[in-house]
Amino acid sequence: MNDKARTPNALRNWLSRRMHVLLLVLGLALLVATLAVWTVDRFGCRAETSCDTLGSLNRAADAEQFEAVIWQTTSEPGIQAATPAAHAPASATVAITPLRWMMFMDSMAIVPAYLGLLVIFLVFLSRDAAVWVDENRGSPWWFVSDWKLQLACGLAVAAAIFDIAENGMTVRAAEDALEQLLADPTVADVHLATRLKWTFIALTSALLGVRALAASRREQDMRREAGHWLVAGALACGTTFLLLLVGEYGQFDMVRSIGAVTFGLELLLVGTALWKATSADDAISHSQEQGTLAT
Amino acid sequence: MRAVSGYLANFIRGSTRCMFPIASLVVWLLLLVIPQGNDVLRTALERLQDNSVSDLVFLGAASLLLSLSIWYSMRWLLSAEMASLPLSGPPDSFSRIALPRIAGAAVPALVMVVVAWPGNFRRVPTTSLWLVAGAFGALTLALLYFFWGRAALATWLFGPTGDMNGATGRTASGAPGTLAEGQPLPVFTIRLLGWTLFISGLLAVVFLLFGLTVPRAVGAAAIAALALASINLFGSFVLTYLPMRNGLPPLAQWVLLYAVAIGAFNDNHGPRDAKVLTPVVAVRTSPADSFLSWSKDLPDGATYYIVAAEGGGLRAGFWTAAILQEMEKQLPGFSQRVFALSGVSGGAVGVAVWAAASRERLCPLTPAGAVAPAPVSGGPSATKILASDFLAPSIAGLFYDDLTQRFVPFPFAPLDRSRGLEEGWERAAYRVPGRPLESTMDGFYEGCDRLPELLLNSTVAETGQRAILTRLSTTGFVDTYDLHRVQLSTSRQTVAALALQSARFPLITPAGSVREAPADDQGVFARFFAGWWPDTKLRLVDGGYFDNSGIQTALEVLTQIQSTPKGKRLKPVLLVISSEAGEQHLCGPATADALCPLPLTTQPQMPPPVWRWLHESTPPLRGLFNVRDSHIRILAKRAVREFGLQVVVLPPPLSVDGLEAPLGWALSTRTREDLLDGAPVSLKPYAAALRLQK
Repeated sequence: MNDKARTPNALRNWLSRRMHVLLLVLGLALLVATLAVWTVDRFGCRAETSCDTLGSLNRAADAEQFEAVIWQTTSEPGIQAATPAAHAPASATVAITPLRWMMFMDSMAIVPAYLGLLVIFLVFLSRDAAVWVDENRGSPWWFVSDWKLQLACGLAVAAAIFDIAENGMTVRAAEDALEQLLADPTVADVHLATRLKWTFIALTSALLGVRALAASRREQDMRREAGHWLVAGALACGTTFLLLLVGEYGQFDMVRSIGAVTFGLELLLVGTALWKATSADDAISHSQEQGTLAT
Repeated sequence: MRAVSGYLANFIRGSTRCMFPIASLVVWLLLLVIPQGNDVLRTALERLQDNSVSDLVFLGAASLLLSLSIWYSMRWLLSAEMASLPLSGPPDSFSRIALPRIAGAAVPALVMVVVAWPGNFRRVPTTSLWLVAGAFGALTLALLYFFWGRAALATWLFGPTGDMNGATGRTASGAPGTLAEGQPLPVFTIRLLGWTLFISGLLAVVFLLFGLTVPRAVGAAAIAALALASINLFGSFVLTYLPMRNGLPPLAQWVLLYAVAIGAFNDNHGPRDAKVLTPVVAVRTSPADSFLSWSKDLPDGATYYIVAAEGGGLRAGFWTAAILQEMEKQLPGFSQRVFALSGVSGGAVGVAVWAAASRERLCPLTPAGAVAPAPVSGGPSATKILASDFLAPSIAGLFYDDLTQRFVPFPFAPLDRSRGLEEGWERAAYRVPGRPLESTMDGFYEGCDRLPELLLNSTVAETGQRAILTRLSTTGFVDTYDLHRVQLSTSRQTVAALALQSARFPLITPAGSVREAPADDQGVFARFFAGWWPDTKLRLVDGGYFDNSGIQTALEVLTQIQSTPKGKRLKPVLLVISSEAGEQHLCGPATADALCPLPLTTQPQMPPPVWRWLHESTPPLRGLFNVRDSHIRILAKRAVREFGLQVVVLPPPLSVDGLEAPLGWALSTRTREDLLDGAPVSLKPYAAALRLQK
C-alpha cells in the first residue's frame, strides 16, 4: 500500500463527503456564467443585429479583421463608416465594456468552475473509482499513482492559465484595435493561447475518459452504467475540444462550443452522482481484493 | 544587558533565516513607493474609469500569493529548530508566531497605504481611491483572520479531529516547531513547493511565448509580486531551510557563485537580425555632404533644425515625440526642415519613433506599378506609439526569462529581456506604413533621403568611447567608435534595436553585445558554437554615460555643416529637448534676438539636499551621476558662446501636483496628458522667434 496515499487527510475526507455539494455548486456556476456570457455576447453589443463577438474574434485571421469585429460591435447602430476613426465612440475604451465583462466572467467564474470540476473528476476517478494503485506493485499504465494524479491536475491548471492569458490578451488586443495600434503578431498570440488552452483541456478530458473507462470496466450493474455516463461526458468534452483544437473552430460558434463542453461536464456530473449513489461497500471490498485503495 | 544581547542575537539569527522573505518584502515596498511604481498604480486606478478592473484583480491576486508565500516561509524558518542557527525561546513564542503573520499581511497593507496616502494620487477620483484602498484593506484583514483563526476555521470545516497534514501547523504531525532535525518536510509542504515550481515554470513559459501581450494584460506590479512569491518560496525552503536543517549554511551565495561562474557561457543579449536585411551602403557620406544634398532646395537665410534629445526613459521619449509633434503642428513643414536628430537613451527612442511616424508624411509609400503616390493613411502618431506599456514586458523578462537564463549554461536568445523593449516598440509601431522601425538603418532611408538623419548615441563599456549609430560617416567625429560597419552585427539590426543600444537603462535592460556579423552560409554546428561562445567585440551601455544630452554629437554635426559655404548661408536652430523638469535655468527669458540669452547659470537654482547617510560611499556615485547634468549645462553654454547658435531648451513640465514624470518605461494617462499639454506651453516663449502659428 502507498503510505502517502493512506495518510489520514481531513481535507480529502471532507472533499469526499461534500463532493456532491461542490460539484453542484461548480456545475451551477459554470451553467450560469456560460449563460450570462452568452446573453451579453448576443445582446450586449451595439451592432444592429445580434452579435457573436467571441466567435468572430476567434475567426479573425489578422489584425485588420480583429479590428473590424471590434468596431462593428462597439459602433452606434446604423452607422456604416468606412474607417474606424469616422465612427469612434465618445470614450473608446468604455465601448468595449461588454467584451471586458465577458472576459471577466470567463476568468472569474467559468475558468475556476471548469478547473474545479476537472480536478474533482480527476481526483474522484483516481481515488474513489478504485483505480488507485500501489506504486510498488506492477499495474496497468492507466492506473494512477500520486505523482500521476498531480501531473494530470497540472494539465488542467495549465489549461486554466492559458485561458486567463487568452482573455487578458483579447481585451488588450481590443484596446489596441480601438487605438489602431493592433498588430498581426498580437492577434496570432491570442490564437496561439486559444489553441494551447484547447490542447490542455483536450488532454485532461482524454485522461478523464481513460480513467472513467478503466473504472467502469472494473465495476458491474449501476456503477458500470455510471461509468458509461462518465465516459460519455469525457468523450463529449474531448471531442469538442479536439474539433476546436484542429482548427475547425473557424466554423464554430464559440458560445455554442462552450455550451457543448458544459453539456459534457454535466454528463460527467450525472455519472458521478450515479456512482456515488450506489453503495461503496462492493467497491471497497473489490478494491481490497485487488490490492487497490478506495478511500 | 544580557536580555538586550539575547534579543540582538535572536534578531540577527532570525534575519539570516528569513533573508528571502525580508528581501521580498523590502523589494515590494521599494517597487510600490518609487515614482515608476506609483505611476503603475495610477494606471491601474485610471483604468477603473474605463470599467477595467483587470489590473487591480491581478494585483490583488498576486498580492495574496506573495502574502501567503512570505507568511508560510517565515513561519517555517522561524519555528523550526536549526542547530546551526538556534533561536532562543519556544517555537510557539509570540514573536515567532506573530512576525510571519504581520509580514504576510503587510503585502496588501502596503498597497492600501500607498493608494490611500494623502496627495499620492491627487487627480484620481476619491471614490476609486477609497474603493481600492478598502479592497486591499479588506484583503489584509481577511489574511490576518486566516493567519490567526485558521485552526478554528479548520475545526469548523473538518470537525474537531481535523488534520490538514501540516497545512494548519496546529497539529503535531506537521507543525514546523515539532519536526525533529533530519525529519523530512510534510507531504503538504513538499506538494506546495512542487506546485510553486510548476506554476512558476508555467508562468515563465507563458511569458516566454507571449512576452509582449500577456505582461501588458497582467501589469508590472502583479508580475513583480508573482515573481517575488516564487523566488521567496524557492529561496526560503530550497536555499535556506533544507540546508540549515542539515547543518549547512544558507546556499544563496553558492547559487550566486554558480551563476557568476557560468556567466561566460550564457550571454543571451546578443543582436537579433532584422527580418529584411538591406545591404549596407559601401560609401558613407559625411554629415557635410549629406547636408549639401538635403539642403539644395533651401533658400539662403532659411532656418533648419538640429535636435538634441536628452535621455530619461520613456519620459524623455514621450516628451521628445510630444515636442516634435507640436512643432509640426505649429510650424507646418517642420519635419522637412529638420536635418539631424541626435538622441540619447529615451531621447533616442523618441527621435527614432518620431522619424518613423513622419516617414509616410515625408515620403508616401507608392505601391508597385501605381502612378500616383498612395494616399496618406496617417498611421499612429509617435506619442500614440509611445503610450503603450513597455515596462511590464521588461519586468516579466527580468524576473522570469532572464533570471532562468542566468542558471542555464547555454544561451537562449528568446530569454533576453531586451526583447520587451525592442520588440515592444516594433509592435507598437506596427501600423506605421512600411513598418520602418523594423528596417535596418539603411533600409530606413531606402527611397526616402528626406528623412532627418538619425544619430543614436551609445557608450562603449570597454573604452568609455561614444558610439554613434548612424548611416553617416563618423570619421569627422572626435573619438567615436563606428558601429555601422558591414562586419558588425549592428549593421543588421533594426532601428528599434539600435535605439535600444542607446537606451540601456540599468537593470531593466542589460548591456548589448556587439558581435561579428555571421556569415550567411554558416553551418548548424558553427552557429551553435557561435551562440555558445560568441565572438563579442564590445558591449554597449546607455549613451547617457558619455553625454546624456546628445548636444555633443549635434554640435559636431553643426561644426561640419558650418564648414561648408551652404551651411554658412543658412540659419541653424538647435532644439535641446531636455528631460529634467529642473533645467529651465539653462537659459534666461527668450528675446527676439536670443532664444537662449547668456549668461547661462553654472549651478542649479535649487541645489538638491545633501544626504546625511552613507557619506563615505554615496558622494562619489552621486558625483558620477550628477556630472551628466553639469556636462549638459557646459555643452549648452558652449553651443551659444562658440557657435552663436539659436538654442532652444525645452524641459518637460511639472504636473499640476508639482511632480516630475517618472523615470521608467510606462506612463500613466495623466502623466502623458501633462506632457502633451506642456508641449505648447514650453514652446510659447519661442513662438515669435520661431514664427510658430499659435
